[in-house]
Amino acid sequence: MLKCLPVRNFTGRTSYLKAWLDLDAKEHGRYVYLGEMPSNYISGLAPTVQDEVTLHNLFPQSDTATTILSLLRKVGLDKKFTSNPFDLSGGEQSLLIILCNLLINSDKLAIDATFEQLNRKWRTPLFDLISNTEYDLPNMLISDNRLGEYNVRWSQQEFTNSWDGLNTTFRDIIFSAGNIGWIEARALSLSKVSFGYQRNNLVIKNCSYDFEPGMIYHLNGENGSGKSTLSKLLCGLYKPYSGSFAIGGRVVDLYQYPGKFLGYCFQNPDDQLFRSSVKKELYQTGQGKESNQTNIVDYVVKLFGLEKLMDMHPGDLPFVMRKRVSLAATLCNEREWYIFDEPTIGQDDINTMAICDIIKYLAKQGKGIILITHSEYFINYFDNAIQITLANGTF
Amino acid sequence: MQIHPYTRLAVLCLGVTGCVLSCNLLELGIFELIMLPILIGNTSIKIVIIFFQYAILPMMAMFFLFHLLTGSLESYQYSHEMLIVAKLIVITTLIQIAFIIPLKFVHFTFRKWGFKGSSLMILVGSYFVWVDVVKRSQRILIARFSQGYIQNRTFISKIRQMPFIIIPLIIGILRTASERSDMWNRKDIRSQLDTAKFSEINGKSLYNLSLYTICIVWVLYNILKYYSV
Amino acid sequence: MEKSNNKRSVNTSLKIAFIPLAVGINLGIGAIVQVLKLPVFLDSVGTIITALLLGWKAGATVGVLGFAVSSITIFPPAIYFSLTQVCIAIYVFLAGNVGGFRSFSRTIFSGLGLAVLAAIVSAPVIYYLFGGITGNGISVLTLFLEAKGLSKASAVIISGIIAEFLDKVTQCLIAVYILQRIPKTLIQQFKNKSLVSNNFIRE
Repeated sequence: MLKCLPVRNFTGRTSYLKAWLDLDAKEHGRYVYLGEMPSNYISGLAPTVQDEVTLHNLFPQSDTATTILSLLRKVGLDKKFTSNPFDLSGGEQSLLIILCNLLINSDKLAIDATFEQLNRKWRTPLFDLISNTEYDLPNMLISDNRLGEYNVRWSQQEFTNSWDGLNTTFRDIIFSAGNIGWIEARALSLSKVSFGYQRNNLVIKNCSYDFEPGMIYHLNGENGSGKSTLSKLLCGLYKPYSGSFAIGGRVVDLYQYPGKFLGYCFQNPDDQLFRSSVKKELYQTGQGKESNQTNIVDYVVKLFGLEKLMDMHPGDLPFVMRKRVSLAATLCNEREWYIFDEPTIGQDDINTMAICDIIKYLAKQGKGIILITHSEYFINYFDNAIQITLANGTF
Repeated sequence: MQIHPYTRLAVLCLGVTGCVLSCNLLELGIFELIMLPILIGNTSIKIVIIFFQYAILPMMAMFFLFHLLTGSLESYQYSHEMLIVAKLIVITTLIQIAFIIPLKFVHFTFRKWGFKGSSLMILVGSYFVWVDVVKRSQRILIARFSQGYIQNRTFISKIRQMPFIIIPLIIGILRTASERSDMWNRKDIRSQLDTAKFSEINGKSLYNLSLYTICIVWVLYNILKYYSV
Repeated sequence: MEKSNNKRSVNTSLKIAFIPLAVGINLGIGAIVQVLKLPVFLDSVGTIITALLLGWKAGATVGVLGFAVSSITIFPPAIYFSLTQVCIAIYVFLAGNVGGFRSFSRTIFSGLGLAVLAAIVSAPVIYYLFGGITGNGISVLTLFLEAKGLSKASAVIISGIIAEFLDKVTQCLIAVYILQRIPKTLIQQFKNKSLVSNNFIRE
């Protein structure tokens, strides 16, 4: 049975996991910690996925090694053996680092929220492998916010630590503000849009859809289906080869106005935190001027519990808080439509629910929301979310 | 047709020595005609085009322009400068043959050159990791676009983004370095790198032996010629 | 039982993990500048930052490796100027130890000194290997000075110093700008004397 640590944010679980690893550590043992951002745990010493696997000694013979390799093949990562590990998606990198570290001579492995980015169809074979006591796997301790979604039996590790109060349960704030001047979104349409990074290899093929404001859309699709490419097209980052976009029924060339109609909150918050204090981050606008939407900024600050952190450097904050600051900054830089890419990574159940409520509130205020997530718990919380699946470059 | 690490060293040391001693444009040209296809076979013609575009052609143009403007197009000066350009081309070709290593043979090559432990990690890392850094900077630039901070795609707009790209880039790098070094320590990856079996090259192939022969002949010929003059 | 050499091995690993990433910084910024055809190189920002964070040896390693990888990817002649990178790392380390980057004016002054050093160290390479002409904008200045009657050697050194002023001062300012804006928790782990001397962190 897996040992797990289902605790709230800011209760010191990362420190606990690292301390557990170092407890009774032997001189030449192997005690690995895997965190939220998988690219930090790729060795950086291997040019291809195959070399990465070789480096972690997966090819030498043992039953466990053979099973892990066959799991790599089962999930299709063997087709990426000649790719650069940094070219893989977040979910693929998470899977790669977990599998590479499962074979470390029965020492310890601490996994901190690394499973959250995995595709649903990979979870079953992976957890079957991890739960199977026949294999010679390391002693594991897992801290994850989505344990209820994984079909696996687990036992709770003893853990007592006080919660430092940074998690304001702000559901009562969310709906109390009413309308504070949010701009309502207009309808967003795609008409036969095609695009690819190379002309002869289209990622988005003749894609058409009508997005209605005030609705929440869940953009579904396998890795490589074009979700992130479509998001970038909607933000005006690339010009489609054919087709057009329309806002409120009027055709608009989004490429001429990058980032004007849609706000995109990225999966990795570190990609979009640019300033040296949380205050500056929230008050900056696209035109380099300070925001005059002080009522929106004040509301967002209360919403995400950032009052005490305004003068801090975002880089000094833990990952979970940086994620919240990036969400807050996206909202402060107000747009009609928002795309949220994995907004609940690292957030515990209660904070996840709060983010769900914020999104529902925004939809009620007339905003249009597109969500990209692998969390079933998160999506099931929205009764009226519209599922749209991208496959073969179209819906 | 892969070049063995020892062959690379031979091409570099013997080839460059021969070039330094050589004073004959024609001989340098012939040697370059032999080495250039080897370079192109090792990598692609792109790096050759870049070299000519950014270094050789501007250099030659400036030499010519200088003499044209000062009215000193005497043949002695001209051939002296052509010799410099020729030596530069050949030496750069040899350096690129030595150091442009197909990624799957990087570990094997540096190990054969005697590197292990920390130095091997640094060298191998430098060959691969820069790609990740460039990708991160592209992601940050995309984030700037998508937040509406870049209103147009002009030259000036892009320059103005540089401070906003470089700070998050370096913060990300520091964080990665910290986590990665911790993971390396915990996993003793240094000894794994020294012992893991990566792809190898057969140094006794006809291709490698031919390269050795060409370089040995080249350097001996130039040594004899230099000391007989 | 704790792992032995824990503190020492953490610092060594951090150095080893950081150096390839800093090589990436050198390459990334250098490549952007080349594409935009700016009148500067900006190819040593990673070297300067590493010398201030980790010392001159690490800085020199970043510089040399950065130029080596650059010469096999984007700019082939880069490798010939590797010695210049070593000298840049040593200079920055020494200047940093005495607080040479503590303020804006000090940084400019240090940058000027760096420009002179870089020009002098690069001059023999340009003179002997390139015949005085490297094919970039600085060469136009060299030719002009030579046409005015200066010897080739003097023309190379003087044009190098003039061109390096803008480039090296800009790079020092960029490096200091970055180090002042990085969260202190991230650079505190580097424990280098330069960081305290230049007020990047407090002791």
